[in-house]
Amino acid sequence: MRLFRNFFYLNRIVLGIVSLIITISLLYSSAEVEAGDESSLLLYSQFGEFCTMCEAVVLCENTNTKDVYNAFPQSGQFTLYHLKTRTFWSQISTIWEFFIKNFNDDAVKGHRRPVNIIKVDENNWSYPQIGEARISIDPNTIYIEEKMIDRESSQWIELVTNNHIGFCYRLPLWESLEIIEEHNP
Amino acid sequence: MILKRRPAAITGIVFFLIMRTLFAIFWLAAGVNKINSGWVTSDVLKEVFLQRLTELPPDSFAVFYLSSFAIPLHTLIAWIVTLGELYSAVGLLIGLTTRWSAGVSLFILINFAIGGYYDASLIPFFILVALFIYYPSGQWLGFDKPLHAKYPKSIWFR
Repeated sequence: MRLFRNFFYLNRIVLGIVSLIITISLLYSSAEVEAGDESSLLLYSQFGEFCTMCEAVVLCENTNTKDVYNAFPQSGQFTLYHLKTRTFWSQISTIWEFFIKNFNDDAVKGHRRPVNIIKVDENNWSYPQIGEARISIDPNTIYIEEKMIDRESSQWIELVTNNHIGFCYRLPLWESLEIIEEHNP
Repeated sequence: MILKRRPAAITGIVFFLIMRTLFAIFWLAAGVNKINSGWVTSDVLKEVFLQRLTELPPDSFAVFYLSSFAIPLHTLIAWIVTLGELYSAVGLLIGLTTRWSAGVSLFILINFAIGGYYDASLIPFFILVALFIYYPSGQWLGFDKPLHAKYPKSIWFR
């Protein structure tokens, strides 16, 4: 009898809590906004999440015209940004980011990750300089050292003067990494 | 009274149960989101896998796993992951078949890792799930305790 009574009360309390949590979860989830134009942004999935373990190679060059690179250029003057995976603790912090995103879609607007900066002048490749990239989706920008990349227009901007200094392009990842490795073994 | 006699043990159990509840809420939110995102009713998961393929080293085991197993069976996997997360969430939340729920969580986490969705954030999850499997927390709080008393030979409520 006592067992039944305890079980009965436990039932009511636990079921009450569970019902409340499920209801809140459903309400918040159904109110979620579909991922919009950000689906094609670098290191950002079409499901509205930053890619923790993804890498990207971005080429930026001083030019006024926007070209398209489908492959690594054979020569030229440009800066390569190799955006690397997030650091260990940054990866750990994604637990909170993923959790809070279930309740507030705008809660996670950016993060920092390591970046290798390589300056290429024809066949002269600089040794990779290690820096930090600040990636944001509100606004859609990537800050690297004293430069900023507009993720929508691909413009490369000098922060000190706020001047447009060129355009940036995403390169095929694995092919680019192989070429970078060849030049910096 | 008990708290005065064994404060460390009681504090540990309370902390453990809080972590179990948080983990369950996390899993519940993930499962509900998957339903709302159309995981089980569309090809969303296939798109997720295809996108991941482009981000992984071409010669990695994850690429082999995705292309030869996960992508062809994406609908089945979507159902298993979604229902698995919801089952684990409810089980851990109310302490019903708690250790089995944790076991299902472990199975899902292992498959995430094999499929190329690994990062450091999985480490705390693996540790927590191992603890949920090892300790009989359903006996501390949840339906497992009365059900185990009623069905002592059942392996589900231990």
